[in-house]
Amino acid sequence: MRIVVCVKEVADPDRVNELAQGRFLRVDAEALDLDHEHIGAVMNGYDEQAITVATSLRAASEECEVVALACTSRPPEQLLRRAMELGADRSCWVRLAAPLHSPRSVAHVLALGVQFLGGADVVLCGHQASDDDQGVVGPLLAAQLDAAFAGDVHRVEPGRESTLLLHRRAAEEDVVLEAQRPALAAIKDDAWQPPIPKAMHILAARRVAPLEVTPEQIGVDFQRVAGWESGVERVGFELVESGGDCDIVEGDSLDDVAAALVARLRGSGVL
Amino acid sequence: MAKSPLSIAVVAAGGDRDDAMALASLARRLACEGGGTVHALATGDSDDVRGLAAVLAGALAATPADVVLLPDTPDSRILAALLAESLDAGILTRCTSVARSAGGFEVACATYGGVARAHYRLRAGDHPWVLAVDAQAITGSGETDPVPVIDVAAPAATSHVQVLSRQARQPSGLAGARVVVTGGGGLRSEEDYRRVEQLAELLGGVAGASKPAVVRGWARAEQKVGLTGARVSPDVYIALGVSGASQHMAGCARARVVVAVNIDRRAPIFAHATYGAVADVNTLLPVLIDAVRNAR
Ligand SMILES: Cc1cc2nc3c(=O)[nH]c(=O)nc-3n(C[C@H](O)[C@H](O)[C@H](O)COP(=O)(O)OP(=O)(O)OC[C@H]3O[C@@H](n4cnc5c(N)ncnc54)[C@H](O)[C@@H]3O)c2cc1C
Ligand SMILES: Nc1ncnc2c1ncn2[C@@H]1O[C@H](COP(=O)(O)O)[C@@H](O)[C@H]1O
Repeated sequence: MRIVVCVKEVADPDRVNELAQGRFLRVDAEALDLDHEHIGAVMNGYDEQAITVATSLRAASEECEVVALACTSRPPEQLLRRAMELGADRSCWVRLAAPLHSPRSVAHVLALGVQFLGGADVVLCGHQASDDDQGVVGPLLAAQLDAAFAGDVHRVEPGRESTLLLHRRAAEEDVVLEAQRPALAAIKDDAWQPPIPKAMHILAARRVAPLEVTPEQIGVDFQRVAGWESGVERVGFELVESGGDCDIVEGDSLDDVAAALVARLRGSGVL
Repeated sequence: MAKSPLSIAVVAAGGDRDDAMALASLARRLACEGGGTVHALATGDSDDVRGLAAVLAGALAATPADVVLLPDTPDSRILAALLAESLDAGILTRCTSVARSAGGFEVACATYGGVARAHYRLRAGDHPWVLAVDAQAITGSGETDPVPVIDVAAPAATSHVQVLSRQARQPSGLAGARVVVTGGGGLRSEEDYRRVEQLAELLGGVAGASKPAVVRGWARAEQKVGLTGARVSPDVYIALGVSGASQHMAGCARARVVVAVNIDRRAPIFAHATYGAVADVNTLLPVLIDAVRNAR
């Protein structure tokens, strides 16, 4: 069985929030994005979760490999090394000549990447990437691969014959879905904790270089991509100002502060 | 240059119907600028979301639309992507405003959890656009004459996935709560979070959580408020030990009154709060609970 996990590098969201707190966030007017100078790049949080879902599925299956797949114009050594440290067996980088702006282009390239790797029984994507929070590449890729799809999945395990069980946490219920292969799951696990990387995976991450392929090699339809890319253009980017003056209640003692808050809560009609 | 008439379809799937119909005023505004038409497609829920997209794409083929609008909710966002693939359409989610412009649309989207906003120019004409729009961000004239609704049957046989088991979870109670009291990373122990629940109960409200309170196992994942949690619009939202990260505020930006207790005066939450206190929430909570109990 082959599990392909699509991984993306994003600006470290905790660092973005830290800078936002101190009002240190800056806009890069040329890139029409955040100024990434003081912000490190990390693997998207939900993609890390997807790799651990993949390694758990591998542990419950025989003859199974986990391949991390990235499509980017910037060299993703750090990203793919992190994938190997989390337990991927190997990684593949589709090297783009320039960044892609339409998620349909990204899904098209990833679908061809999956085929180039020999096809996949399971493809895992993150619930969303924390830069634009779009949350669309997973379902787009599922449609292009004609794969069964489920979102909000936190666990995948082998089913009876060669089916797959997708554990999905829907809005108000927990659902277990049985899917034929190939299946694509968008991963989201709110209670996820990062595992301690195993020594053998850290060593493998050093030794095994990513398989680098070009869009031409995997058969990208440049005319279709040009059509998708020309349809969308980012023309502006600004920080959202959240400035309100907050009335801070004062008090010499906790009792005073509590009393002042109670008075305000009464004024808000809560007491 | 007079704008050409536009056909706009609003997709209201399952539990997102109210959010979808809130987009009717936007749909009317976009269509009427050029004398276009608006109609809505309504379906039930389905676990076979690809099957649901297929029946909707079939209905849209019968009444083609230049723009398909869905609410920017987790389920409709996925449906929007699947529809974009079926219709060979462009796709953009997290939209907070949509306007017509020469040759297409100007759209603004929330990025980085809401810390920033990106503006896009979308080219229309050669293929349709599917847009997932934050219904709460659309302020339009409340009453618009009703949009014709076409009911589309959800797929009977599920071809892609079969449901093996389904287990309802205890609902969070956050939807429709008039008061939400949220405990965050500033709490020190599970016992402190139990006090958050106690305060919520005393105020006739519901306890919420930010991500750390869930990851530490103090609160159920359902209680998480935010970008990837519940979106609440209570009268009063009390944030205890919550920094006010954009991904969290995305879930409570619609609260009428935000009350913040944080040990750090510079915490971003105070920029969103109506009133609050700079204090150690863990020592203040028991005192505040007693004060509220005596004030009732
Ligand atoms: C894609 C993505 C989606 C996300 N979705 C969500 C989501 O839906 N909901 C969500 O909540 N988060 C979400 N997050 C995480 C979010 O970015 C923040 O990390 C999280 O909200 C921080 O929670 P917090 O402010 O409670 O905790 P912290 O960041 O730990 O902040 C703790 C706050 O408590 C204050 N404090 C500390 N000690 C005390 C004390 N003794 N008394 C009073 N105050 C004290 C501190 O000054 C600080 O302001 C998401 C992140 C990503 C990347
Ligand atoms: N350039 C990319 N390369 C590999 N995977 C990607 C890329 N962009 C998006 N993805 C995958 O799609 C998921 C959702 O991305 P998005 O639709 O941009 O929110 C991510 O969590 C990744 O798993």
